[in-house]
Amino acid sequence: MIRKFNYTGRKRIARSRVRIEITSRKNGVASFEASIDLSGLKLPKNAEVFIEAYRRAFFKRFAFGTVSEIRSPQIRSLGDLDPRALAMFRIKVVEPSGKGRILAVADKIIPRRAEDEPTDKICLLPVDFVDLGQSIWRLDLAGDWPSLQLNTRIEDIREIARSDVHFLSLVYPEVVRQVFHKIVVEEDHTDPQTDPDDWMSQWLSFASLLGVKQLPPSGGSEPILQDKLKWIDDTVEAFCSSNKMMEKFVQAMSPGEK
Amino acid sequence: MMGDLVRILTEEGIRSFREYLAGLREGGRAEPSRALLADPYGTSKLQINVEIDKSQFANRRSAGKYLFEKLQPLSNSRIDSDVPLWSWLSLYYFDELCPPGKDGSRRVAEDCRYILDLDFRLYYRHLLLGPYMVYRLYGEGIPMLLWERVDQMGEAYRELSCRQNLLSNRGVIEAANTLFYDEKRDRLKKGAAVKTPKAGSLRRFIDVVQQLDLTYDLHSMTGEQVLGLLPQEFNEWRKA
Repeated sequence: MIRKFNYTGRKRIARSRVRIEITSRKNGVASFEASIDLSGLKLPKNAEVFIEAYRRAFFKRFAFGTVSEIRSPQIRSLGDLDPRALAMFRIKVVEPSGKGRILAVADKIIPRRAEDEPTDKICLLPVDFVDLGQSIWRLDLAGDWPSLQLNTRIEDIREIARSDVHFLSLVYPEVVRQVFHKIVVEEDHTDPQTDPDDWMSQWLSFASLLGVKQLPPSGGSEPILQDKLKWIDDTVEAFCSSNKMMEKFVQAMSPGEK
Repeated sequence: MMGDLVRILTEEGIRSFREYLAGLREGGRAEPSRALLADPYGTSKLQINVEIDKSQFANRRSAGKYLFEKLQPLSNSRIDSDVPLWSWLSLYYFDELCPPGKDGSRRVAEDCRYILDLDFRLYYRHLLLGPYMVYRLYGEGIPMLLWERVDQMGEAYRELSCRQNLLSNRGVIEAANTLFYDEKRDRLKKGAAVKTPKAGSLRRFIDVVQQLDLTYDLHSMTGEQVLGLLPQEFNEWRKA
């Protein structure tokens, strides 16, 4: 069980209150649009609002006015960031007295891309485009949020990963398996209520949406480890079943037959 | 004096470079392949002509400054992830990055110090990209991160850059520089980089700052303001 302490009363801004979208990539430079809803959080009206974009050594900060008057700055360009790369965003509300105390925060916000289908759902698996040599894809579990890396050397890889049945049916079940192995076996994170905004909790909630009724067991003994691996198998099967992976794969392998 | 045009290593070139590194680890004493630097199969041309020469870098600072100035015509947004470019540069400056001993043997470090690896945990270890990134962020303003020889990653750099939210935080980096950098001797103060998080050490500084980062908007603060938040255990360094 993971516990976090918050002695300063810092408020959490739920992900559902924030929407960031990468809107353009003109001249190789990305920029973004943001909407933030801070109503009902009982924050001082004159507290300052900032949005920070970050990735590795890249960092850029944008002043978005105050709680009572959220205002997008005119320039929201991500400057030196590779426009194909995945940046994360952080929203901070800072006390107005100049002491720099954080009053509320939302971190690890994954931006939507303009070409993504419009939806209010939270993105569980953002996609990052990187040079992977001879590999086609890789799951990055070391960053702030798991991401699916796709090889920029492959033409149309974005479209392949989005709609190619072979790719979908062979890659995504393995992605789901690796993510849950990280969460359940390596991190022993088994309760989605621990921190509902955390990525591990979000993935566990996703498992229950797939129809997996029980939570995985907690602990590190050998029998529990076996139960965890069984739970992961069941979850991957539920994922495949809800997406009719096998049927679609067979159909795609023999497109002429009905 | 005419310089050399920067090229990029192809996949084939990177493979050869990797094999060369493996050979050195097994006791080989071969010189880095000068022919590979312009080999039509192992390299290809850069889109823009950039000329460099075999400068001898006194330290990471001079390497960062030199590369920052020379590579300015290239797009900043893609340069950090340009594996073929940084790998070619490492091969070009290999005698600087992995100098031979008197007997011709070389102490080769992990591949990612010479061949850029984009893995989140490894990319910052590249011996040329690291100084370049620091110089691009801070110029010569943070000598703590750049005083060491170019074949070394640097104690403070390693500790601060493996936590991604710290290297780009100017106030935090300025505060660390004030506390732990010995201006007179151009090096870290003695005892700053102990391996264990001893009271007042750099590692302890990182632990404390990561905790403060949850409460304070450190990105808006100057180095002095960050220093003002630190507990007493760091006072000794301010006097030193």
